[in-house]
Amino acid sequence: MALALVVDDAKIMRANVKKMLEQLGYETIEAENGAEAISMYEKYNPDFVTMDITMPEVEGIKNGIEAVEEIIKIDYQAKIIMVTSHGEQDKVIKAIKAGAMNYILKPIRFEKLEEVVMKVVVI
Amino acid sequence: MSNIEEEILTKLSNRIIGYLKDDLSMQDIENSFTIEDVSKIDYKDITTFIALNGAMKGTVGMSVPSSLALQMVEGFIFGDYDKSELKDMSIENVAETLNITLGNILTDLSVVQNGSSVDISTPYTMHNSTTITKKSDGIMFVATLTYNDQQILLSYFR
Repeated sequence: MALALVVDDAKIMRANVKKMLEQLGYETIEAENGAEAISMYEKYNPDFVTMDITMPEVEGIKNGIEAVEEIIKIDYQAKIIMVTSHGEQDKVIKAIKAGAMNYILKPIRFEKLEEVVMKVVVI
Repeated sequence: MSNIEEEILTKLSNRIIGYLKDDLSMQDIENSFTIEDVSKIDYKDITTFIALNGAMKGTVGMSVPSSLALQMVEGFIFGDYDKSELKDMSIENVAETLNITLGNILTDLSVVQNGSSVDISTPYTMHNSTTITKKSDGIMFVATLTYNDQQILLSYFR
Protein backbone atom coordinates (compact mmCIF):
# COMPACT_ATOMS: atom_id res chain seq x y z
CA MET A 1 0.00 0.00 0.00
CA ALA A 2 1.34 3.45 -0.93
CA LEU A 3 2.29 5.75 1.95
CA ALA A 4 1.36 9.45 2.22
CA LEU A 5 2.84 11.98 4.65
CA VAL A 6 0.24 14.58 5.70
CA VAL A 7 1.77 17.82 7.02
CA ASP A 8 -0.33 20.54 8.65
CA ASP A 9 -0.16 22.44 11.93
CA ALA A 10 -3.95 22.17 12.30
CA LYS A 11 -5.05 18.79 13.66
CA ILE A 12 -8.45 19.10 12.00
CA MET A 13 -6.87 19.63 8.58
CA ARG A 14 -4.58 16.62 9.08
CA ALA A 15 -7.59 14.54 10.18
CA ASN A 16 -9.59 15.54 7.11
CA VAL A 17 -6.80 14.88 4.60
CA LYS A 18 -5.86 11.59 6.30
CA LYS A 19 -9.46 10.32 6.16
CA MET A 20 -9.76 11.28 2.49
CA LEU A 21 -6.46 9.62 1.56
CA GLU A 22 -7.33 6.51 3.53
CA GLN A 23 -10.62 6.35 1.63
CA LEU A 24 -8.54 6.50 -1.57
CA GLY A 25 -6.58 3.49 -0.34
CA TYR A 26 -3.41 5.14 0.97
CA GLU A 27 -1.70 4.50 4.26
CA THR A 28 -0.92 7.76 6.06
CA ILE A 29 1.53 9.20 8.56
CA GLU A 30 1.43 12.78 9.81
CA ALA A 31 3.61 15.68 10.89
CA GLU A 32 2.51 18.95 12.47
CA ASN A 33 5.33 21.22 11.30
CA GLY A 34 8.01 21.49 8.65
CA ALA A 35 10.86 20.24 10.86
CA GLU A 36 8.91 17.13 11.82
CA ALA A 37 7.98 16.59 8.15
CA ILE A 38 11.66 16.54 7.14
CA SER A 39 12.59 13.94 9.74
CA MET A 40 9.48 11.85 8.93
CA TYR A 41 10.36 11.97 5.24
CA GLU A 42 13.90 10.78 5.95
CA LYS A 43 12.67 8.00 8.18
CA TYR A 44 9.72 6.65 6.17
CA ASN A 45 10.38 7.75 2.57
CA PRO A 46 6.67 8.21 1.73
CA ASP A 47 5.32 7.95 -1.82
CA PHE A 48 4.00 11.52 -1.65
CA VAL A 49 3.47 14.41 0.75
CA THR A 50 0.64 16.91 1.29
CA MET A 51 2.20 20.04 2.81
CA ASP A 52 0.43 23.04 4.32
CA ILE A 53 2.16 26.14 3.00
CA THR A 54 1.75 28.34 6.09
CA MET A 55 2.86 26.85 9.39
CA PRO A 56 4.53 28.31 12.48
CA GLU A 57 8.35 28.23 12.61
CA VAL A 58 9.77 25.18 14.38
CA GLU A 59 13.50 24.37 14.66
CA GLY A 60 14.40 26.99 12.07
CA ILE A 61 11.96 25.77 9.41
CA LYS A 62 9.71 28.81 8.88
CA ASN A 63 6.98 27.36 6.65
CA GLY A 64 6.02 24.68 4.17
CA ILE A 65 8.22 26.17 1.45
CA GLU A 66 11.38 25.75 3.52
CA ALA A 67 10.31 22.20 4.36
CA VAL A 68 9.99 21.49 0.61
CA GLU A 69 13.50 22.86 0.01
CA GLU A 70 14.93 20.55 2.68
CA ILE A 71 12.99 17.47 1.53
CA ILE A 72 14.14 18.04 -2.07
CA LYS A 73 17.74 18.06 -0.79
CA ILE A 74 17.07 14.61 0.69
CA ASP A 75 15.18 13.30 -2.36
CA TYR A 76 15.09 15.38 -5.52
CA GLN A 77 12.27 13.17 -6.84
CA ALA A 78 10.02 13.78 -3.83
CA LYS A 79 6.35 14.20 -4.77
CA ILE A 80 4.93 17.09 -2.79
CA ILE A 81 1.45 18.66 -3.04
CA MET A 82 1.08 22.07 -1.40
CA VAL A 83 -2.10 22.85 0.52
CA THR A 84 -2.91 26.53 0.35
CA SER A 85 -5.54 29.25 0.52
CA HIS A 86 -6.65 31.15 -2.55
CA GLY A 87 -4.72 34.30 -1.59
CA GLU A 88 -1.30 32.67 -1.40
CA GLN A 89 -0.33 32.51 -5.08
CA ASP A 90 3.11 34.02 -4.47
CA LYS A 91 3.88 31.34 -1.93
CA VAL A 92 2.65 28.60 -4.28
CA ILE A 93 5.02 29.85 -6.99
CA LYS A 94 7.92 29.78 -4.51
CA ALA A 95 6.98 26.26 -3.43
CA ILE A 96 6.79 25.02 -7.03
CA LYS A 97 10.20 26.62 -7.72
CA ALA A 98 11.50 24.84 -4.61
CA GLY A 99 10.37 21.51 -6.03
CA ALA A 100 6.70 20.97 -5.13
CA MET A 101 4.78 19.22 -7.92
CA ASN A 102 1.26 20.54 -7.53
CA TYR A 103 -1.08 22.34 -5.15
CA ILE A 104 -4.62 22.16 -3.83
CA LEU A 105 -6.76 24.99 -2.51
CA LYS A 106 -8.53 25.02 0.84
CA PRO A 107 -11.26 24.07 1.54
CA ILE A 108 -10.16 20.65 0.31
CA ARG A 109 -12.82 18.65 -1.45
CA PHE A 110 -12.50 14.88 -1.78
CA GLU A 111 -12.83 14.82 -5.57
CA LYS A 112 -10.23 17.55 -6.05
CA LEU A 113 -7.74 15.85 -3.71
CA GLU A 114 -8.24 12.59 -5.58
CA GLU A 115 -7.58 14.36 -8.91
CA VAL A 116 -4.41 16.09 -7.72
CA VAL A 117 -3.04 12.98 -5.99
CA MET A 118 -3.63 10.88 -9.10
CA LYS A 119 -1.70 13.42 -11.21
CA VAL A 120 1.24 13.44 -8.82
CA VAL A 121 1.39 9.73 -8.10
CA VAL A 122 1.43 8.67 -11.76
CA ILE A 123 4.34 11.00 -12.67
CA MET B 1 -16.37 54.02 8.34
CA SER B 2 -13.64 54.22 5.71
CA ASN B 3 -13.82 52.13 2.57
CA ILE B 4 -11.05 49.77 3.61
CA GLU B 5 -12.73 48.55 6.82
CA GLU B 6 -16.09 48.27 5.10
CA GLU B 7 -14.49 46.42 2.20
CA ILE B 8 -12.74 43.74 4.27
CA LEU B 9 -15.72 43.07 6.53
CA THR B 10 -18.18 43.06 3.62
CA LYS B 11 -16.07 40.70 1.51
CA LEU B 12 -15.30 38.45 4.49
CA SER B 13 -18.97 38.32 5.54
CA ASN B 14 -20.09 37.40 2.03
CA ARG B 15 -17.35 34.78 1.73
CA ILE B 16 -18.27 33.20 5.07
CA ILE B 17 -21.94 33.11 4.12
CA GLY B 18 -20.99 31.34 0.88
CA TYR B 19 -18.58 29.01 2.69
CA LEU B 20 -21.17 27.99 5.27
CA LYS B 21 -23.76 27.36 2.56
CA ASP B 22 -21.61 25.66 -0.07
CA ASP B 23 -18.88 23.91 1.93
CA LEU B 24 -20.51 23.21 5.30
CA SER B 25 -24.10 22.66 4.05
CA MET B 26 -25.43 25.24 6.53
CA GLN B 27 -28.18 26.63 4.32
CA ASP B 28 -29.91 28.58 7.10
CA ILE B 29 -27.21 31.25 7.28
CA GLU B 30 -28.90 34.55 6.49
CA ASN B 31 -27.70 36.44 3.42
CA SER B 32 -27.90 39.83 5.12
CA PHE B 33 -25.55 41.18 7.79
CA THR B 34 -24.84 44.43 9.62
CA ILE B 35 -21.55 46.29 10.05
CA GLU B 36 -21.19 48.70 12.97
CA ASP B 37 -18.56 51.08 14.31
CA VAL B 38 -18.20 50.05 17.97
CA SER B 39 -16.13 50.96 21.03
CA LYS B 40 -16.02 47.41 22.44
CA ILE B 41 -16.84 43.88 21.36
CA ASP B 42 -18.34 41.20 23.60
CA TYR B 43 -17.09 38.06 21.94
CA LYS B 44 -18.84 34.66 21.95
CA ASP B 45 -17.49 31.35 23.35
CA ILE B 46 -14.82 30.68 20.71
CA THR B 47 -12.87 33.50 19.10
CA THR B 48 -9.99 33.39 16.68
CA PHE B 49 -7.79 36.28 15.55
CA ILE B 50 -5.55 36.73 12.53
CA ALA B 51 -3.19 39.70 12.25
CA LEU B 52 -2.79 41.59 8.96
CA ASN B 53 0.54 43.05 7.94
CA GLY B 54 1.88 44.85 4.91
CA ALA B 55 -0.33 47.28 3.00
CA MET B 56 -3.16 46.72 5.46
CA LYS B 57 -2.54 46.45 9.19
CA GLY B 58 -4.91 45.36 11.93
CA THR B 59 -6.54 42.30 13.42
CA VAL B 60 -9.44 40.35 12.00
CA GLY B 61 -11.52 38.22 14.39
CA MET B 62 -14.22 35.60 14.13
CA SER B 63 -16.34 34.64 17.12
CA VAL B 64 -19.07 32.02 17.46
CA PRO B 65 -21.00 30.30 20.25
CA SER B 66 -19.89 26.72 21.07
CA SER B 67 -23.12 25.23 19.72
CA LEU B 68 -22.59 26.85 16.34
CA ALA B 69 -18.91 25.82 16.29
CA LEU B 70 -20.05 22.22 16.73
CA GLN B 71 -22.46 22.50 13.81
CA MET B 72 -19.68 23.99 11.70
CA VAL B 73 -17.25 21.16 12.42
CA GLU B 74 -19.93 18.57 11.66
CA GLY B 75 -20.25 20.15 8.23
CA PHE B 76 -16.50 20.41 7.69
CA ILE B 77 -15.12 17.09 8.83
CA PHE B 78 -14.78 14.15 6.47
CA GLY B 79 -15.68 10.77 7.98
CA ASP B 80 -17.17 9.76 11.32
CA TYR B 81 -16.06 11.01 14.73
CA ASP B 82 -17.70 10.84 18.16
CA LYS B 83 -19.13 13.92 19.83
CA SER B 84 -16.16 14.51 22.17
CA GLU B 85 -13.69 14.43 19.27
CA LEU B 86 -15.89 16.81 17.32
CA LYS B 87 -16.09 19.17 20.30
CA ASP B 88 -12.29 19.26 20.53
CA MET B 89 -11.93 19.87 16.82
CA SER B 90 -14.67 22.51 16.72
CA ILE B 91 -12.37 25.08 18.35
CA GLU B 92 -9.62 24.58 15.79
CA ASN B 93 -12.21 24.57 13.02
CA VAL B 94 -13.21 28.16 13.82
CA ALA B 95 -9.56 29.14 13.26
CA GLU B 96 -9.42 27.20 10.02
CA THR B 97 -12.69 28.76 8.85
CA LEU B 98 -11.31 32.27 9.31
CA ASN B 99 -7.92 31.25 7.87
CA ILE B 100 -9.49 29.77 4.73
CA THR B 101 -12.05 32.52 4.10
CA LEU B 102 -9.69 35.40 4.84
CA GLY B 103 -7.11 33.78 2.56
CA ASN B 104 -9.81 33.44 -0.10
CA ILE B 105 -10.71 37.16 -0.12
CA LEU B 106 -7.17 38.52 0.24
CA THR B 107 -6.48 38.91 -3.46
CA ASP B 108 -9.88 40.59 -3.94
CA LEU B 109 -9.01 43.49 -1.62
CA SER B 110 -8.48 46.76 -3.48
CA VAL B 111 -5.06 47.35 -1.86
CA VAL B 112 -3.87 44.00 -3.26
CA GLN B 113 -5.55 44.64 -6.62
CA ASN B 114 -3.56 47.89 -6.74
CA GLY B 115 -0.30 45.99 -6.47
CA SER B 116 0.41 46.00 -2.73
CA SER B 117 0.65 42.86 -0.64
CA VAL B 118 -1.07 41.94 2.61
CA ASP B 119 0.25 39.10 4.78
CA ILE B 120 -1.81 37.16 7.28
CA SER B 121 -0.52 35.53 10.45
CA THR B 122 -1.37 32.06 11.69
CA PRO B 123 -4.60 32.17 13.77
CA TYR B 124 -4.65 32.67 17.53
CA THR B 125 -7.73 31.17 19.21
CA MET B 126 -9.35 31.74 22.60
CA HIS B 127 -11.90 29.35 24.05
CA ASN B 128 -13.82 31.62 26.40
CA SER B 129 -15.91 34.71 25.97
CA THR B 130 -14.03 37.96 26.33
CA THR B 131 -14.49 41.67 25.77
CA ILE B 132 -12.07 43.82 23.80
CA THR B 133 -12.19 47.61 24.05
CA LYS B 134 -11.12 49.98 21.31
CA LYS B 135 -7.82 51.83 21.81
CA SER B 136 -8.19 55.59 22.30
CA ASP B 137 -6.68 56.27 18.87
CA GLY B 138 -7.87 53.02 17.32
CA ILE B 139 -10.71 51.85 15.13
CA MET B 140 -13.04 48.92 15.73
CA PHE B 141 -15.81 47.49 13.56
CA VAL B 142 -17.96 44.42 13.88
CA ALA B 143 -20.07 42.56 11.33
CA THR B 144 -22.91 40.41 12.65
CA LEU B 145 -24.12 37.37 10.71
CA THR B 146 -27.06 35.23 11.78
CA TYR B 147 -27.60 31.48 11.62
CA ASN B 148 -30.81 30.17 13.21
CA ASP B 149 -30.89 32.96 15.81
CA GLN B 150 -27.21 32.43 16.64
CA GLN B 151 -24.73 35.19 15.88
CA ILE B 152 -21.37 35.03 14.16
CA LEU B 153 -19.25 38.11 14.89
CA LEU B 154 -16.56 39.21 12.46
CA SER B 155 -14.39 42.04 13.69
CA TYR B 156 -11.66 44.31 12.45
CA PHE B 157 -9.65 46.55 14.76
CA ARG B 158 -6.29 48.25 15.06
